Amino acid sequence: MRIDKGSISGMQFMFAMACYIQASTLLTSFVAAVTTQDSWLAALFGSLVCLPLIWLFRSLMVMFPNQNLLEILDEVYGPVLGKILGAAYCWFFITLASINLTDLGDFTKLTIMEETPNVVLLIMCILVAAMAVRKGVSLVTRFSDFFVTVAFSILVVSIVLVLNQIKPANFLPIFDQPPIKYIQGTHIIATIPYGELVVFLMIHPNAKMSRRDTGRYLLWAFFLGGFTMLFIVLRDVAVLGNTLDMFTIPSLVTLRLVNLGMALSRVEILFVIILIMLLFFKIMVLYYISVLTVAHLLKIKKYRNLVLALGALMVTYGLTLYPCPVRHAASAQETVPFIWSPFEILLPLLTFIVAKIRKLPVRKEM
Amino acid sequence: MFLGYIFRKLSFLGNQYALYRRTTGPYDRRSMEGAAKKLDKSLEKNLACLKGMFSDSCDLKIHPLELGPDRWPAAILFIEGMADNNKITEGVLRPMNEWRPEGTLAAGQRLIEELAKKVLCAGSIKPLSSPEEIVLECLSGNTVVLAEGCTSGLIVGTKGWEKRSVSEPQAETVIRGPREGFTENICNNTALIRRKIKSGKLHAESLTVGRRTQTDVRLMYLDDVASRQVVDEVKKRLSRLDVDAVLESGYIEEYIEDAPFSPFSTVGYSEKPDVIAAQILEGRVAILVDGTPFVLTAPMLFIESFQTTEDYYSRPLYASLVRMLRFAGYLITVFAPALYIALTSFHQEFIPTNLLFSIANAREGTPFPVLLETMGMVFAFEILREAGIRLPRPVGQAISIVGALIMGDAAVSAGLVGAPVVITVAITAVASFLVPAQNDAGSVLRIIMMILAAFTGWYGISMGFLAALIHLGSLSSFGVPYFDGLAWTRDQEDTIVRLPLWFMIRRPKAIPETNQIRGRFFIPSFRPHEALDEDEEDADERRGEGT
Amino acid sequence: MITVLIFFALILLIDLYPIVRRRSWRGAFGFLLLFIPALTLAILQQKNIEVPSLMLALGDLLKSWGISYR
Repeated sequence: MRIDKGSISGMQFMFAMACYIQASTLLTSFVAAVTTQDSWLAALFGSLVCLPLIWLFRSLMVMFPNQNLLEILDEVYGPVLGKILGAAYCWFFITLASINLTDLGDFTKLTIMEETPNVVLLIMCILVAAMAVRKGVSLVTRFSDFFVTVAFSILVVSIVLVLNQIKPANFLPIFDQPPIKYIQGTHIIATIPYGELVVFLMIHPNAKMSRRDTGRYLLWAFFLGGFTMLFIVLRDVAVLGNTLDMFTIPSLVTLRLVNLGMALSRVEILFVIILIMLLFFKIMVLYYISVLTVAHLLKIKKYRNLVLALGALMVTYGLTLYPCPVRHAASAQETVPFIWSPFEILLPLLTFIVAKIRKLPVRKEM
Repeated sequence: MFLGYIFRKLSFLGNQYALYRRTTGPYDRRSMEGAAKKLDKSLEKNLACLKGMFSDSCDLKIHPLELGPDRWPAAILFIEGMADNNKITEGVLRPMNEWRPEGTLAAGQRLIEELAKKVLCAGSIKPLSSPEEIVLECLSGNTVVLAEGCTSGLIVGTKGWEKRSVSEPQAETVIRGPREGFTENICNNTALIRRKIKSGKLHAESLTVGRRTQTDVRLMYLDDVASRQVVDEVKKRLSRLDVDAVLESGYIEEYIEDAPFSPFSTVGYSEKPDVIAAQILEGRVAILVDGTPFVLTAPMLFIESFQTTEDYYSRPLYASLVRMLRFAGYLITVFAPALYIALTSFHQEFIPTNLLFSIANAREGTPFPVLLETMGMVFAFEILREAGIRLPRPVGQAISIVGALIMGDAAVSAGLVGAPVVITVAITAVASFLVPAQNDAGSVLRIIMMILAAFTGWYGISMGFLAALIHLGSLSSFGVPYFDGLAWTRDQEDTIVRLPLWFMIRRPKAIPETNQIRGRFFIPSFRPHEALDEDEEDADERRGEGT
Repeated sequence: MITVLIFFALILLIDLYPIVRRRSWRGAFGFLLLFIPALTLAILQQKNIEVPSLMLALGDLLKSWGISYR
């Protein structure tokens, strides 16, 4: 059963994934607090560790080119267990969307809108996202290439602007931390931006791409997003050094340091605006996927009428999740990687193995 | 309980609407009251009947005649002013008066045939027997010849009325490019387009729209380029049209456009034959309406509003610069007041200190909050603009001088508004003229952005921008995505920059499905006449490399 | 409070009404499944009643099992 009949091109799919990873760069602050000046190592390790994960997603996409995640679960584990796992994924998607929504609210409150109530910001974002979600997948992913281009160019510009502030000594000392910290950092990077790509298993049937292209597009998305993240972390470390863990959002501080004469200062507003747009994109994708999942679980053909209700749920649920950004950061550093791991790594892996053992999907005779 | 009430109310309204939809079927435009199905044998009766159908109008001229030596009664009917008097005298009256038939007159149908073949001189003559059709023909300026004992009349083509000659269009002026504009006459307009595209594949199709106005509408498109789907869609929507009157192409635009509630228009229009010819050559369908110099084109893309014909007539480097300027201008006209509001009321820290001081100085003592102040100025500007358009040109200029200079200056010096607001609104206003086609959408967006900025500052502007993007992305015009060409992946040769013409070997991919190639790809050598200046040897060498 | 109720009433009007008109009871069930928790949470927050955070509770549970960094 395909609920959304819209289709997107492989390129669009790739850009959507790349943009999704880029949107998570805000969350590098979680790593920064753990591994300070070695955060770039954590980012690098995290990316390397995730290559097999990307391959795993690719295999699942290739094995079941016309089924989304819930249908894959149904087919591999049978209807009952599949439904239970599907419901768990449903909770996962909605929670993820809510967390990102509150992230956007907290971030905006922290940087540009100190006095506006959080709810107003969240509701505005949800209303705009709902406009897109009601129109379906093609509109949701439509502007991803634009966002990727803008984010990338702003990254390049910002690196050029802080060139005079970079001190190589900031990278020292390397490997100064206890090994558990590196494992933790890698785990955070692996689960928070990359593992979340599991959401794209919900919409890959809508993407028109051949078997061979799937892997290529996934890799490209991975490189585009991964490089952006790596360079952002590198830039922050090079400028801020081991003071990295003192700030809630290191990138913002880095850009605030930009000062070329009197001409260019306070360019962090650029960063804030592009990050708002990227986060908005991420929320929109997660929102869409949550709606799709709910509709799919309950076998509702017209998912449009669920959009606003789920949006309301996301706002209210998101507001209960974390009482303050500090608790959020602590939880993201300590426990969230473990909560997410089953959904992002273990279950896909298990699904893959079971599918291989049960020799699924059964090829139907043409 | 309350909700239940609302539900009942709504379902009642819904049912009413459905009922309305069901009962009002298509209007039968052939049924006119008190009309006979066919003409009678008696001339008296026929004339009375036709007179009745014209509701005894005084401009219907009935001229009785007597044919030949037998004094056989006949009559001609035409509408004063719609028919060319010259043509009537030369082609109808004189030959009929001077006709001396040999022998006796053939009675009945034969008489009509003889008249058509031997007597009347006109480009088009056809017999018609149904009174409704005769009335329609007469209303479009033709002359009707009736004779005693004949059950059909002759329609003689004598159309001709006073019309404006081709002149320079008022709405779109150019520095470089053809200066002719469409007129109110549809035949003329068709010919103007045909003169630009001398191809047999240029297909023209005629329709009649409007129950009472019976307006001529013509579709023109290139048969082998335009997408069948789009053409069929346009035809479908035009044929579904069932309205009382079509006085301007705006009526049709409103009925066939895809998103009537969107601030963005999804049907393009122009007054210049070269623009329309270019649109047709890109695979669009032109819709010509009689009685207006504005020709519609469908489908429309958002990017079209930023392209002018002069971009293609001037050299690419400068044209690209202007194109970018236009985009910047549009962004300014939509976002400048909003940014000003956001900066002054929420994000003072992002203003450079010196500027902040001068803004604070200027705003000191102004009585209104910044949103009200800016809104007021924007409102005043819209008033001035509207006043300037409707008045005769010299008065309009006086208005703009009094309004802009004197009132603006007085308002600032009286301390009603701050000078920065005046500057912002002035830039906004001037920038809005860069993209006239999207001006109305820009005005609406500007106000929305200002309100968003006043309540949630930069965040509101970002969200407004995203909402506008998503709305644009969701629009489509006749099945073609409206925002295509600006979606960053395809057709980049003619968007933000205008590449040289020899780069644009394909028509815009979004619109035509077939025949996308415009011409062969060739790159002109960068110094074509170099060979003349240099030694023969060098030139040979270069030629060798080139091939 | 009034604002919250108006918001939710608007959602009902926009979305539940077409569902009911279509007589799609499954759709209405799904809609209410999302709508009622959202409304409850909104009202609870409006009344300043602390709602326990699911994520923090899960985190504490994992911590008590010893699965956590630190």
